[in-house]
Amino acid sequence: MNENTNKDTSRREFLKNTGRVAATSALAAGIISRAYAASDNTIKLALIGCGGRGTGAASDALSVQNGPIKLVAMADVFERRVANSYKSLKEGRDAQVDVPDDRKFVGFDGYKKAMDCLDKGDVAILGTPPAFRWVHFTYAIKKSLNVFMEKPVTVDGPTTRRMIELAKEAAKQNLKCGVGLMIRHCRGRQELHDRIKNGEIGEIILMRGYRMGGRSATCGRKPDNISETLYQIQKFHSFLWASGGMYNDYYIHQIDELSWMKDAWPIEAQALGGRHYRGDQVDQNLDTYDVEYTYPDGTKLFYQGRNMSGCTGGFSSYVHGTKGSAVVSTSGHTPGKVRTYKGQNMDDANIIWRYPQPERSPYQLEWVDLIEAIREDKPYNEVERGAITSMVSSMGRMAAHTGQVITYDQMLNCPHEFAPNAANLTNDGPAPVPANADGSYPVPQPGILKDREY
Amino acid sequence: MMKNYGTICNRPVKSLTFLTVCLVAFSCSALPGKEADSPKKYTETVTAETGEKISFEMTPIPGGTFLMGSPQDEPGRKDDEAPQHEVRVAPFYLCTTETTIELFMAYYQETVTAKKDFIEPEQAEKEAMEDVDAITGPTPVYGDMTMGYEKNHPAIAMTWHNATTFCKWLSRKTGKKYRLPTEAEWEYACRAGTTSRFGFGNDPGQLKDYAWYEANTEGKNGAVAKKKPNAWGLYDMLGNVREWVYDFYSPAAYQEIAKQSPAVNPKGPTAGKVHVARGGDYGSSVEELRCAARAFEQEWWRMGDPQIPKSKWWLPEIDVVGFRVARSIDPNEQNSAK
Repeated sequence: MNENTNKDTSRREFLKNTGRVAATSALAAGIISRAYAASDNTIKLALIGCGGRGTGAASDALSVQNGPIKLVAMADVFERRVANSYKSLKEGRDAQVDVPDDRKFVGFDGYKKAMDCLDKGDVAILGTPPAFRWVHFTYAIKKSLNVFMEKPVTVDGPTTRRMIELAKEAAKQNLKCGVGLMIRHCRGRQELHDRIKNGEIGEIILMRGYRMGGRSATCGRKPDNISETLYQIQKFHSFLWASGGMYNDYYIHQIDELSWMKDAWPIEAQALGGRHYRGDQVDQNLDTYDVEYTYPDGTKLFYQGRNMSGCTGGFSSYVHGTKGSAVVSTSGHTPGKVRTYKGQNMDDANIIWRYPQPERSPYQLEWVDLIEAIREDKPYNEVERGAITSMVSSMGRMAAHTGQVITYDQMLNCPHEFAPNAANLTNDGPAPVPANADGSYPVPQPGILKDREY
Repeated sequence: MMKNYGTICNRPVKSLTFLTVCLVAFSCSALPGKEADSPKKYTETVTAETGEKISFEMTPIPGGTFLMGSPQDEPGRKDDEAPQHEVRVAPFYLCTTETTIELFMAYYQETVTAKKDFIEPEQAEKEAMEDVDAITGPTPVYGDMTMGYEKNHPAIAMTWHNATTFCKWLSRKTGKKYRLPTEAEWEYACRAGTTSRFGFGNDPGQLKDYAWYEANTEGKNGAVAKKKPNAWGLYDMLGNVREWVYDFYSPAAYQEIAKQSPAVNPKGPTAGKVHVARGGDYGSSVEELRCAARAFEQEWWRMGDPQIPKSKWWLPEIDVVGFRVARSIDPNEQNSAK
């Protein structure tokens, strides 16, 4: 996989400008139409994927204060998830949750039925594992629905290319599409980004990110009382086709926020990874990931991910410029507690600026911004950017899993689609990754499998 | 000076251990009569799974009666601190420091149930019910539990439920019944026999000697026991991290309890939605650092938890909340000394 390593200028320019492209493509298309249609001003929501995050997103949506908004339909492949999610949401916001039993849908076609309960301009919340994102987004576009989709939005090359095309189609239709990379909506990070642009710490030449904690994103062998496909969906962090693995699900935010601060996407990745302590666990993830991303101007991003109990922890990200440095994430995603320093020693004596505390929740703000864009008909489409961030995550993951340097173009054009049948899965049909005879699953073999991850 | 008495007390063979401790205490105590019976400060030592030994100090708090709440003319007072009312508190032990990351990490690593995040809630509950002796420990923390702090900083980001589960674990580990202090015990200990605003006096100018708070921190909490202790030897009662106490919060709690005079060992409302967390934190203002100032779980403490239902165990990335442990004085313990 060493073809196509030349880094042409237009590609670099394209990468550099993608943030702005995403925001302006609807304007460029020259289409201004009413973004929502309901006569009484109420925005209706359908929640597709009723797990913890989907439910959290629905709750955040319902708490936006700028006009009537209500949840009218729910769908999941697990009946219990729909029931639990409904119960939690109903408890918190009874009047805004109008989901009678005949608008609760269980099964792989539930997404269609839930979206069929909406009208043009309402909002579909896509909260399933990302494997289904392009399937659900395709239908949402067909129904002219606005969309909020959780991150990641793709898991491999083919789904990335598909999502970028879909994003363009959605933009043409002036659909408002939010992606759950909420840090882009954090006011502190936005100000930090402005300050960096204005030269407060000079030119960024190095970036670092850490996500190190105890063992997670893992699973044991499938029990007898659940089908293979449903088990893999239930344990989606464990399966690359479903989630992009722990790498994409956990690391994407920091890779995204750092690329944002740099205003560029990395053009290649080299990475190490190992699997030492998996024991009886059968997921497809590695225990450690150590990644070097290279940006068009040669700047490096070093990212260290580890899920091993008993080791030093870390959940932070930093940028280093020619004149100073900055904290992009202090610990976790929020509060960000962003700040800038003179020089490279980040101690209190060198502080230039810190964002005042407390901060507003970016999980809330991403909804405030989306609903405002819908009500005021502002251009709003984060899907292309979300697809590229997802793909850049996959690039680092593939570099670790294959032991090869992977370029942006190689990843984008990689033909290995993890779940080509994602649109047609059934409870009892074949699962996207078949189990081995002993109940384990194929894992990466760096240096042996070089052009696919398993 | 009594530092090494309790180090052997990490076995559930209660009576023998206590007898030994108390005999030692008795034999080297110069205090006459009744005083010799009173509980002594001791060091508790816990051996982590890794073999590492972690110690903390438990100091006896004498029983007594005090005025809980703030006087009407106290600057910064809030309505929920009224009315001032008499409370009688039985003697108890209180840890001289906030529970540290080091100790909390030992608990976490011994009890964390990695699979629980990945099984259905009903199944998790069923498994917990079937094994009544097991301590159902926390789910894996989302991110890094230490938040980059050193191990001698206060443990942080745990829910009240998690803090009380820690106490259960510690009790099993040591054979002594540890718990959170009640709100009344906490304020009584914070006042340390005084009626002043801050326990050490009324001068906010001295706060910097006793507490990590907004005037002397930069977005971070401090290592425990680096400031002056109060008159009863308790460190960081004010500032650093808020401390979970046993009670549910109600703004009207004092109006209710004031009907009894004095209230004896009150434990707060029988039901409620959120719990009290006392003492202010490293970002608190002077007003929040008063002994009488009350505070309780805030919605934003769950801001970093984007899921619903919210975690039963964690307040992700909230480094302003911790706790310290208390222990009732076991009557048998005193008897054995007589």
